[in-house]
Amino acid sequence: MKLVRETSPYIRKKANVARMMIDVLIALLPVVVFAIIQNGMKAVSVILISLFSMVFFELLCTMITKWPEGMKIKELFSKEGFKKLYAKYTINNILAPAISGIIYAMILPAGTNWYVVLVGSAVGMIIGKMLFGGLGSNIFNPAAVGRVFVGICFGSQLVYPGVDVFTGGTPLGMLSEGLLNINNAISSYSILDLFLGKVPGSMGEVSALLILVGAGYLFARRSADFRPCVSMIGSFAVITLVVSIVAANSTVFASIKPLQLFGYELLSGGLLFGAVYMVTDPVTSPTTKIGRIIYGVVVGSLTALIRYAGAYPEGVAFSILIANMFVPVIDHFLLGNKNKYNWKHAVGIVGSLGVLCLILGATVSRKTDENYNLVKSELFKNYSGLQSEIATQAPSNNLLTKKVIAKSNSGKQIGYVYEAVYSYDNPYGGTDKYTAIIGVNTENKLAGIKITNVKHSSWDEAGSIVEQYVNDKYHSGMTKDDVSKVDLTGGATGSAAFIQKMVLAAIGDASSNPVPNENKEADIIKSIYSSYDASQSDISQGIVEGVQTVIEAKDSDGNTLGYVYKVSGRHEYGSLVLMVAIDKEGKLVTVELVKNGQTAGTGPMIKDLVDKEYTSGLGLSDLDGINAASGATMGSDLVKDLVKAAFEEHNGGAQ
Amino acid sequence: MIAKTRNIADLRGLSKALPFLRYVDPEYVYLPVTNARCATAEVYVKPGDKVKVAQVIGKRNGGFFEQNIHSTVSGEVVGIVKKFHRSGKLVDFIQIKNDFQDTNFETVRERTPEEIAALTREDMCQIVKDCALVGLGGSSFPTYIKFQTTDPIHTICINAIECEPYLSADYSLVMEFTHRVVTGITYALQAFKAEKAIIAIKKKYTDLEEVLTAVINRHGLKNIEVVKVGNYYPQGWEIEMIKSALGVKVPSGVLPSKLGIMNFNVSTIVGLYKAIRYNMPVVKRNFTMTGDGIKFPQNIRVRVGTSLQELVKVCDGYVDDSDKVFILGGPMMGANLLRDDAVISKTVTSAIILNHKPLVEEPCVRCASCVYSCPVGLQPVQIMNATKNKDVDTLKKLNIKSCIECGLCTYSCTSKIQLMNIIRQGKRLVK
Repeated sequence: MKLVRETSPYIRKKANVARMMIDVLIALLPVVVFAIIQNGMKAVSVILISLFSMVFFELLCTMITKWPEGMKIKELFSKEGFKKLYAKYTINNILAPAISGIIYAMILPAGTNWYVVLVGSAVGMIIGKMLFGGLGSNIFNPAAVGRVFVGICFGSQLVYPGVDVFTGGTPLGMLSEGLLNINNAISSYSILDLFLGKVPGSMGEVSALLILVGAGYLFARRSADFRPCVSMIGSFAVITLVVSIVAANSTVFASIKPLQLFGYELLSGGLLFGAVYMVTDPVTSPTTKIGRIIYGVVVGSLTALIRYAGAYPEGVAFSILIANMFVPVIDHFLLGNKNKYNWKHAVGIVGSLGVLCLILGATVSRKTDENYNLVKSELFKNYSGLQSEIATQAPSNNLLTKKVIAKSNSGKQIGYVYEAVYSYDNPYGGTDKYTAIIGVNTENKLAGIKITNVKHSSWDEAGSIVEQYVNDKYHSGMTKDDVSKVDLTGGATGSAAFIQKMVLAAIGDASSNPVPNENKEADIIKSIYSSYDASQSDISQGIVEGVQTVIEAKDSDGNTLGYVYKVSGRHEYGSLVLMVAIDKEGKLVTVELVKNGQTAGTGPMIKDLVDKEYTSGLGLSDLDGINAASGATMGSDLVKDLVKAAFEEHNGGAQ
Repeated sequence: MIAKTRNIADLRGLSKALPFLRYVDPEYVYLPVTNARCATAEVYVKPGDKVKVAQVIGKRNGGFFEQNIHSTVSGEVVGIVKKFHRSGKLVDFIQIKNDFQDTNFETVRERTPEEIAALTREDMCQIVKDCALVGLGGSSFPTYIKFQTTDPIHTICINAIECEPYLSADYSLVMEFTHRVVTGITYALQAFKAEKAIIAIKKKYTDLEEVLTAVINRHGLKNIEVVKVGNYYPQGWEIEMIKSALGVKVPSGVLPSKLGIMNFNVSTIVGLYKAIRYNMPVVKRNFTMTGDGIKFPQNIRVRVGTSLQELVKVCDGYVDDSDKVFILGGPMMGANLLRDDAVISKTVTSAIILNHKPLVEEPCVRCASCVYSCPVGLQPVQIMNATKNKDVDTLKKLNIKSCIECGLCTYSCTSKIQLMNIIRQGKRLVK
C-alpha cells in the first residue's frame, strides 16, 4: 500500500463534461427523429455525412496535434503506437464533434448536396474549432461557422423543398419580401403549423414544440444554462413586439395584426433552435450569469436586426458568430464581478434594447412605404418600373383614406392608388371593416384591387371568401360601367356591395382628376416598343417557372412586335424582378430592372451591369460572354440566368 | 452541471450513528514542539523527567503570541523524536511515556461557581492563555486573542455545523457533552457581557436540537437559542454561518467582532469550559476516523498526542493494499499526508482514508459551474486562465486573495480540473 499525494479537495462531484454532452445529444433526439420522419432518406444522408465527417475531422486534427514526438507513421499500425495515440483520445473527442455535427445538420435544409455538407463540416470543425485548439478553446460555434460558410459559398444550392422555389423558401423567406406578406404567409402556414413543424425549412428548426421539449430536458438536467436562451428569446421578442406594433399602426397595412406577426416571427426560422441548442453552448459563452444574459441579448438583437433591417431572411447563425466575438470582451468587463446582477446591468440592457427598438421601428416604418410601392407594382403589373416617389393627394370621397399618384420609371403618371376603408355597423352586433388597395389607371379603368384586411364581427372566414370573390369578379381593365354591373351574388352579398362601392369611389375620384394628356401613353413597354398600342388587350398569361408574365407587344395594326417577359428569381441574399424584351428575330431588345432586391452594396452594381451589358441585339449565345460584376457575382449570375430563362421561354413558347 | 453546487456528498453514515469509542490511554503521546503558527519554541523538560497531566513542559513562540505546551498524560519524558505534524511537515515532538495514572498537575483545580461568577473578561483571557486554548475547529487561532477584543459584543455565535462531508466529531461531542457546551457558552456570555448566544446546527440534525434544547431549558437559560441553518457547504464558513443564522452580512476583510458578533467552534467552547471550570488545557478530543479506505470507520475520543498509526490499528487497519489518500481534516479543505506517521494534535478533527481513484483532467469547457458555485463570488475559471498566463494584474482584479479555499470549484468542475491547486499558485504569484 502506498499513500498518494493529492491536494484538497479530495472528493469530486459525479457530473462531468461527457454527461452534459450526452444530455445535449438526448435533447436533440426528438428534433432529429422529426427531421427524419419529415424528410426521410434526404435527412438521414445529411445527418450521417455531417456527423461522421465532423467526428472524422476532429480525429484527424487530434492525431496531428497530439502525435507522439518522433513516432513514425507506420508505428501507428503497431499496437504500442496505436495505444500511445489512443491514450490521448477521450470520449469528449467523439461527443463534442457529434453534437456539432448534428446541430450543423439540423440547420441545413434536407437533401443538401453531400459535398456541400462535407465542405461545411470541414470548415466548421477544422477552422472553426481545431485551429483554435480543440474542445474548450474555440471562440466560434463550429456548427454556425460551417453553416454560414456554406450559406455564403453554396447559397443557391440551399433550397428549401416543398414550396414554389420562386416565391421563396421558408415562411420567413416570404416575410422578408415585406411584412405585408404576413397574410400570404399565414394563409400558407398557420401559427399552429409553425409550432408543430408542418412547414418547410431547415431540418431541425421547424418544430417549435419539439425544440421546447428538448429545452425542457436540457434545463431540467442543468446541462445547459437557461439564461442566454431566455435572454435571447426575450430580447428578440421585445424588439419584434415593437416592430409588429409599428408595422400594424401604419395606415397602409391595417391587415397586420401585431400579435399574429409577433407569433409568426418568434416561431419561424432558426430562432428557437439557436436559442436552445447553440447559444447555450458553454464553450462559446461568457462565464458569468450576467455575462451570459448579455450574450443572449446580443444574439437576440442581432437576429432581429438582420431579420428586419437586413436583406437576409434568417440571421441566427450569423448573429451567434458575431456575438461569439464579443464573448472575450464581455468576460473582460466582468472580471471581478461577483456573479451577481445589479441595477447597472439592467439599465444597460434595457437602454440598449430601447435604442435598437427605435432604430428598427424607424426602419420598418420606412420599409412599409416600400411595401406600398410593391403593392402598386402589383396592381399595375402590366406596367412595370414604378419609381419609389409617392405624391400624396387628398382623396375626394370619404370611403378613400389615402390616395397616391403612381408613376413609371420615366416619371410619367400611370394612374392612382387608393386605400379604401368601408366600415359597417353589423345589425347582429359589432363593426365590420373592409380595407382594400385599389389601383386606377390613366384611362379611369381598374388596374387592380387587393383586399388587405377584412374584419368581420361574426364570420371568421369572411376574409378568404371576400378575397376569393374579388379575385373572381374584378380584373384589370374594368371600366366604371363594368364595375356597376359586376355580379354581386358570388360572395357574401353585403360585402360584395361594399367592395363595389369602394371601387366605384376610387374610379370616381380618379375620373374627377383627369391625368394630363401627355402622360397617357407612358409605360415601360411603350418605351421599349415605340409603336406599341396600349389599348389592345395584349396580355397572354403564361406563368412558367421563372417567367411570371409574358406580354405580347403589338402595334396598332395588331402585328406582333415582340414579347416582354417578366421574370423573377432569388438567391440567398435577395431577389430580382426583370422585364426582358425580345424581338421577333429572337434578339434582345432591352432588359429593365423592375425590382432590385439586392443588398445596398450590390444593388447599384447590378443596375449598372444591366444597363451597360444587356444591350439591344444580343442573342442567347452572346449571354455567356457577359462578365459578372466583381463583388456582385451572385446577383450577376442571377441576372444572366433570368435573361436566359426568358430566352428559353421565348424559344419554346413563341415560335 | 451548470448550476450552483451547495449540497455535497454527505457520507457521514460511515461513522455518525456508531457508538463512541474511547481510546484515551495510549502508551506514548507525542507533543509537537513547533507548529504552523509558531516557528520557534523552548522546551523545559529533559528525557527522564516525570511530568503530570496539564504540566507546562515548553513554550512555543509565534510571531505575535506565545503558547504553552502542556503534557496531556502523566508519565516520563522519553525524548525528542521527529514525526509528521498535521500540516504535513516533519517537526520535533516531545515523546512522553504514559504511566496510566492520570495524575493532574497542581494547577488543575475546580473553581467554585462563586469564583467563576467573579471572573471578568481579562481574568478569563489570562486563564485561556495559560491553558493555550486555540480554535479547535481547525484554525488553531489562539482563543485568548479573541478575548482581548474591546469591541462591544452582543451575540456569541457557536459553530456546531461541521459542514464538511464525512465528519461527525462535533456532532458526537455535542451529543455526549451537551452540558459542557451549554455551560461553556454561559462563560463566554459572561466574559463578553453579550446579550445572547446562538448555537448554529444543521437543519437535518433534529436530534442535536432536541438534546441542546433540553439542556438549555434545564438550566433555565433564556438567552441561548438553537438556530438551524442549511445543510449545504460551506455553511460552516463564519461569514456564511452569520448570514444564515443572524441575517447579518459581514463584508469581506471585516472581523465579525466589529459588528458585535463573536464566533466560537463548539469544541473550542468545550475547551473553554474545561479551562475556566478546572483550569485544564485540552488533553482529549473527539476525533473522526473514516473513509472507504479503512475497515472500521468510527468516532473516537482520543488523548491529544496519540499517534495516528495506533488509531489506524484501532480501526482495524486499511481495507486492502491499494493506493490510499490520507487526509487530516475534512475532505474539502484538509491536509494530505504522505505517511501515516503523524500525531493527533488538539486541532485535528478527523482523519479520512480514501481509496485512490486517479482522475483525468479534461480541457475546460467554460461551463462556469465553478463560478456559479463559488461562495465568495469569484470566477475560478478566469483565475485559472490568468494564472496560466501569469497575469498578476488580472489576478488582483479577480480578488484572488479573498478565496477561502473551500474547494467547491474543484469539487464541482465537470472537467475534473484541480482548480484549487491553480488558485493556490495564483495566490503565490500575487504575493
